[in-house]
Amino acid sequence: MDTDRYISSCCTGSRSSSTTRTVGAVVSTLHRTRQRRAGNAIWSLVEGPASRPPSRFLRDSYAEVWETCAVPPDLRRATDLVVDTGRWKTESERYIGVGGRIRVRRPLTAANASGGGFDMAESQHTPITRAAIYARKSTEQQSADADAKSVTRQIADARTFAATKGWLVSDAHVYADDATSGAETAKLVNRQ
Amino acid sequence: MRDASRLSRRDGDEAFGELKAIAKAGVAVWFYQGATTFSFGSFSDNVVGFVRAEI
Repeated sequence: MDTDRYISSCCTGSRSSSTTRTVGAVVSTLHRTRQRRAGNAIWSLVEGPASRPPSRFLRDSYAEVWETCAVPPDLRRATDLVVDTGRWKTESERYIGVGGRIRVRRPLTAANASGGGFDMAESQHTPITRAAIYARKSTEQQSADADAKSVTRQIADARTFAATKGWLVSDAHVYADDATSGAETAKLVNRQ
Repeated sequence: MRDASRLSRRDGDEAFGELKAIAKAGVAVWFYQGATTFSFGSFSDNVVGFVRAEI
């Protein structure tokens, strides 16, 4: 099993051979580990060119992945593999990512996207798309419970949509209009 | 947001204008209900956008 084969197996999640089954298990382990460590963040391996030596950040990332994935020593060629945050719908489905280029990402969490450990220049990847959510309930809705559910549902649906697009939604950019009209300034003042 | 009508309680033309202002500022406005983006500029986009913002 050479490195390319290993990477390819990781990216497709195929289970057509014993090799890919092994890789699938490795990715599954990595998947669970990352979910425990970083909430919704999921790491996977993707192919990247060996066009330049890895930086310290890259080497640290490799080391972490090698350890987590239990990648055999003969496959630990750091310049051939990179780390990416990707999404696996299930273990058996294809990796959903923007493939083709070398990229290294820290888990897509609000904390590290704002600077904590995420090095945009070093990672050479496409920038994270940040998304804001706006939800508003209708004034026609009379029930307070229904209204709350409506806004809550809108936000949840919007988060799901953003997740499918691979966007980052920070809690600070989730806006909800709970039926306080812009003309009803008294209510707005009372909120302060 | 869910759809164009969610943005504002104001009249459709005003709501559509607000969406245009946001879009012109460089923000891609997505409506998750139909997985569509806000667009404007053409006759059809403007008419449909106004109607959707109104209802």
